[in-house]
Amino acid sequence: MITATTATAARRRRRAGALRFGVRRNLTAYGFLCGALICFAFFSWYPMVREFVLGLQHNNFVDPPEWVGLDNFRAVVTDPVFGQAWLNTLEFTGLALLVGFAVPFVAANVLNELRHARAYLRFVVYLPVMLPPAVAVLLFKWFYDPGAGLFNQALGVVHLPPLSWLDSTGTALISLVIVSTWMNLGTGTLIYLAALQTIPGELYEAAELDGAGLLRRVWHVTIPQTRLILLVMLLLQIVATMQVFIEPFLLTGGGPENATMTVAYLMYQYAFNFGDFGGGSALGLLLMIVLLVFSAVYLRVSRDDAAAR
Amino acid sequence: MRATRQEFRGLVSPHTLGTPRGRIVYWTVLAVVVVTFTATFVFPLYWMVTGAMKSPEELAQVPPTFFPTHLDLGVWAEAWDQLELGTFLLNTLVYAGGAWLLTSRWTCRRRTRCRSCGRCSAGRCSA
Repeated sequence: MITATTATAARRRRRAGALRFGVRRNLTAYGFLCGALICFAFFSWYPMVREFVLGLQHNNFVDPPEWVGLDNFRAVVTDPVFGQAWLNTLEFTGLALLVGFAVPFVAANVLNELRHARAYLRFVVYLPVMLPPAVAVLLFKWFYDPGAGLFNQALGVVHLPPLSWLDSTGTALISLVIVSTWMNLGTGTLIYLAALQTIPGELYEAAELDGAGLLRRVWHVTIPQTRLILLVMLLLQIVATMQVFIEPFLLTGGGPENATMTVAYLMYQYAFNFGDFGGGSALGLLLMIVLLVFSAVYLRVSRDDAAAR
Repeated sequence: MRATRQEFRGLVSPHTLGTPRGRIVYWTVLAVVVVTFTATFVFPLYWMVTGAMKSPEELAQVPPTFFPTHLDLGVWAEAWDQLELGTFLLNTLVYAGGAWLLTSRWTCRRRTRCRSCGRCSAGRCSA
């Protein structure tokens, strides 16, 4: 009887000792884990939960918050600007993809073929990315100036009528796309360039021996070989451009006549111009849900696609 | 560099590049690319730097001048003082330095050992 209890105690002691030993041996790892958890909790998870809570409240941070259920969502969705903002955002994303996806890929292909001035061209293409976004945007605001702006001056030199870049509903959004593309082109180009350099030259050689012309080599060798990067970049770019904010914020303020009002900017207006933090949060949540659903569908499709190959 | 240049085989074969027609096309494309890239990516920056040196009257002038008529570097000093750029730069430095320290130095304190041999440190940090 006595021996049995001592044996159990010894086993228990041994187990506790093993646990203590395990903890002590991995103490550093647990320490690192704690740091990461605290950082994520404070700066990532807490704001998310807070936004969700704010979306269900009337809150101006002065009076005590009031729970209103889905009122904020209802108010945001019935706002006449809501549809316009989504349309503008989609149009911006479409245009930015059309330009911002094709141009870097073509630029990377051309840069990859050139044997001279490689360092210079790579440096130059990355220059705008090094410029702080606010500076780049304000620089273009100066270029777009209808009177003394450089663009209209240049149009005048070649005897073309001046454009009212940011001041007309027809051209404002396209002007924003130009700025955005100019700012972000460098990153895409460098990433595609890195991907292009991993393509073995033998593939091109074989394709050429089979009689494939330049375009067919691009279509049958370059694109399949860089497919994964292209797909990832497509996803990243769509998610990033859907949240376009700084361009309308600094260039147009959403005008003229809401022609450049985007979802992210409308969200900002709700929260900081109208003092309606609940509405802003609700809109932010809607945008997040759309992006989440899009990303999930996209990942699913690309995984199925990869499995089918 | 010369060795890699010979090994490298891109979309266009070295043979095609060697033909007279290939050479003409290559140099034309190179010239066009260099000029376009300089115009689109360097020129705006040049315009910004020289614009900062121009006087307000010259800045508003139509048509604009390509070079500032007189080099006035005083505006930089003025901007530095008026906008408290020194403080802002210091803030940026602290922010960037802190982020660098936290992400690259700390996580690499314990050099990662590779799993196959446990001795070599394949994941050695460059920082």
